[in-house]
Amino acid sequence: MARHYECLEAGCGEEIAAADEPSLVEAVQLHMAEKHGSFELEDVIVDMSTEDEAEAVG
Amino acid sequence: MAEQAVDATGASNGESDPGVVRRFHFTREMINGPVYRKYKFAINRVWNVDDLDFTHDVADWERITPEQRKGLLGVTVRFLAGEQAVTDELVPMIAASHALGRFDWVTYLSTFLMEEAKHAEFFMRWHSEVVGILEPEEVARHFLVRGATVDPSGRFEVRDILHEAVPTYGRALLEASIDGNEEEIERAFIRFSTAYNAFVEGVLTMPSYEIVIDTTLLWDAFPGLREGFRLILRDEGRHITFGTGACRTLIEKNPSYEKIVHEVFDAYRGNVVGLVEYQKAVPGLEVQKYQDQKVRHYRNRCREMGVTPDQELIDQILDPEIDFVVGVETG
Repeated sequence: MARHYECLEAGCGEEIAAADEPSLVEAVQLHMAEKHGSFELEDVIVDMSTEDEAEAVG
Repeated sequence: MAEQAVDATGASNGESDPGVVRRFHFTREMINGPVYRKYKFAINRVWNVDDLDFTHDVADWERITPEQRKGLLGVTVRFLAGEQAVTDELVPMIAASHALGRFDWVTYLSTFLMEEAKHAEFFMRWHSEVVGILEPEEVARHFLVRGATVDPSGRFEVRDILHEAVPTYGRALLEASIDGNEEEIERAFIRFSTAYNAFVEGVLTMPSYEIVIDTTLLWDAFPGLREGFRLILRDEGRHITFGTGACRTLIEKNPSYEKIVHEVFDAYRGNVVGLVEYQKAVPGLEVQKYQDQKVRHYRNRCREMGVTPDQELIDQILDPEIDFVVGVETG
């Protein structure tokens, strides 16, 4: 099931979406590394991600 | 005489004795719930300090300068003290979970306590094997005392939330758990968990992990320390989100509890709005990055707890005018 997560870094707010939970964790970590030179805790991503109502995204 | 009906397991279909039923806590809802999932993750991802190799770190310690040694120890010794403190102060949360009848919380917290003890062991072993210090008198000489860090504007006081608030709130939580008044336990739980999981673990310490990781990458050194941090952070994510998730559950039950979260952050506002001593201990790092991260971590904790972030606090964290003079005294 497709999921998304909002990055709450100061001045960011980007919505990151992926086809499933493992892909979302990977996509958020990539965003954190590339945009913020940082990382996010896996449990934070998993707990605060939400299921998309629409079909899975790539 | 009529025979009593039995189910497929051979048990009678009559009503069970409630006193006996109360002896069992597992339910299908619990084992499919988010807290039990954290417990299972913790069990499946157990790691051992014995498996870490500090050989490279020992050689790196020999080659870095005295200034670099002092800077790094300013951060790592605070972790050494901090991990011992969080291990030692967790019991009230377990007692409160028992008093609230949350067997899933107690079950998960069994892994939480073991992991904190292991984190303390990791720092003890790293300092002992790499730096050659272990006894309290040896490590205390490198501890940056919080009282030596001051706000030149006089607006904020830098206090020690981990070594002051957490034990105080913990004692209050333990007393409430023994007294047994549910609302008092819930209030004390939120106060304790906000300080422990949301503030200390979830906001204040997170940039410090990154500072150590960035330092080891900047110096191309200490792979054992970096690997330990990677493993610890995997556990910390569960710890933080367990605490904030538990607070969310209680706040959803009684929304008036939200103000307790803000009271705790407000009481220790000075610790989060400026860069404090250990966050400036290592020269050469881009320190503003860690302030920006604090905002993200604070917003994340509020989102997890289901509370509205304090915008004034966020503005103060991002205000470059607010900074502290770092004390150089050690314990």
